[in-house]
Amino acid sequence: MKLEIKNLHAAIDETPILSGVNLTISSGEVHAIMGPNGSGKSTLSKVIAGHPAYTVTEGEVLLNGENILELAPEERALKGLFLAFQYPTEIPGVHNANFLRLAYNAKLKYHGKPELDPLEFDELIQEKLALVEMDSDFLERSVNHGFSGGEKKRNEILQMLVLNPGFALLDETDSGLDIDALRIVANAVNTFKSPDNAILMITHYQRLLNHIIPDFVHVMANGKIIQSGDKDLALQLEEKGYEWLLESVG
Amino acid sequence: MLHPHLIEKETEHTRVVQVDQDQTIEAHIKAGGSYTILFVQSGNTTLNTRFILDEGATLKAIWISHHIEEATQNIQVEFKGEGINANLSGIARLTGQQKLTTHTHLIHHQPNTNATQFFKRIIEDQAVSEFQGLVHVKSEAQKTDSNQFNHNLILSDKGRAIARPQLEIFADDVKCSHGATVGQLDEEQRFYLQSRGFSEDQANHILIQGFMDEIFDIIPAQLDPAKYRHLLYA
Repeated sequence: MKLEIKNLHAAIDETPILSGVNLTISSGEVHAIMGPNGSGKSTLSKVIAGHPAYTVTEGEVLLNGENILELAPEERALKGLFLAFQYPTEIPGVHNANFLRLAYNAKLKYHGKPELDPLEFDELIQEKLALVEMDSDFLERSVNHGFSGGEKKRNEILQMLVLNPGFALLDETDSGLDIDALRIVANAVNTFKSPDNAILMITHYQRLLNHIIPDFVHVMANGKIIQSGDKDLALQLEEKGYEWLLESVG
Repeated sequence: MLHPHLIEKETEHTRVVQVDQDQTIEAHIKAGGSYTILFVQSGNTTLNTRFILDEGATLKAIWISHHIEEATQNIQVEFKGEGINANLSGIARLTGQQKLTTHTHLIHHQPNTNATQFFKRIIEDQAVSEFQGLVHVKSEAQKTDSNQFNHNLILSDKGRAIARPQLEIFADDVKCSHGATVGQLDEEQRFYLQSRGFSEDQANHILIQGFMDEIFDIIPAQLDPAKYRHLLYA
C-alpha cells in the first residue's frame, strides 16, 4: 500500500484551500499532520476521500500508483481507503449492525469473496466490539444517531477495524475524547497497525501522539506542508506553538 | 352508526386494520387501558379515526399508507383524563399523482398528558402530501407535553409537501412544539455511506429505507413489521 499526494491543489466554492500538498505514505508507516485551524488539514482528508463539495484544481493522489481523483468515493473505499470522520454523520433509521455488515459484504463482493450471513458477521463484530470496549446493544442503535461525541469516534474506529483498510485516514479522531476513551481508541488503532497498512492521523494535540507513536510528523499551514520531522517535532510544537515555525518559513 | 370499540380498564389490546374502503373507527380507552393499533390504508379512501382516552390510558397508533390514489386521514384524539400517553405516527411513500391528506386534531382537556405526533412522507414524481395538525390545549390542561413532527423527503422536482401546524393553547404551563421539514436526501449522509463502499444508488436506497424505518421500528414485533416494510420498500 502506497499513497502519494503530488502537488495537490483544491478549492471549495472557488476559494483555494490546498495549495500544493506533497506527501508519500507507505505500508507500515504512521504519519501525523498537525497545524493551526484553517490550515487545510480536514480539507486534505475530504479531498482524498472524494467529498463532492471540493474541486481539485491541480495535482494527483495516487493509491498504489493509480490516480484515484477520478474515482467515486465508494471506489476509493473499496480499493482500501478509509476516512474516520472528524464529525461522523448521524443516519437515523439505519441500523448500525446492518450497516456494518452490508459495508463489509460490499467489500468482500468487490474482492470476489463470498459474503457473510448475519450469524457469521456477528462473530466477527463481537471480536471488534471488544477492541473498542463497546457493548453489543450499541449495534442495535441507528448509525451515530444520538451517540455522544466519544461514541461516534469509537464507532468510526469500529468501522475501521471491520473494514480493515490498507490506508486509514483519521481526522481528529482524538478530539472530544476523554482520557479513557482516548486510551481505548489508541489501543484499537495500535492493534490495527500492521506492516501491511498505513495510517495518517490529523490532530491538534500532541497527546494523541503519546499513545500512537508516529514515524513522521508534518506541519500544515496555508494549504501546504511547511515542515516535516519525526515525533520530536510534535513535542517542539507542543512547547513553542506554531508561530516560530510559521515565521521561520516566512 | 358504528359503535366505538371499547378498551376495558387496565387491559391491553393490539389490532391491525386494513383500510381499502372508506371507514370510520372510534375507540374509547378506559382508565389504565392500553391500545396499539396499526392502520394499513390503500386506494381512494377516507379513514376517520377518533380516540377517547381516559385517565392513565396509553395509545400507540400507526398509519401506513401504500398504493393510495387520493386518500385522506382524519385523526382526532381527546385526552379526557390525567396521565395519558399517546403516540401517533405515520409513514407514506407517494408516487405518480398520488395525494395524501392528513388532518390531526388533538384536544388536551386535562392536566399531565403527553402526546407525540411523528408523520413522515416520501414524495416522488408529482405526488402531494398535505399535513395539517392542530393541537388544542384547554385552560385546565396544565403540564401538557405535546409535540408534532412532519418530515417530508422529496425525491423529485415536481413533488410537493404542504405542512400546516397549528397550536391553540389556553393553559400557561405547557410544553408544545411543532416541527416540519421538507427536504431532499442529505449530501453529507450520502457521502458518509459512499465513503464506506456503497455506490450512490445503494446509499440513496439505504437513506430512503432508514427514513421509513424510523416509523417501522415503532411497530411492535408481534405485528411483524417486516410484512409492512415490504409494502413501501421499492
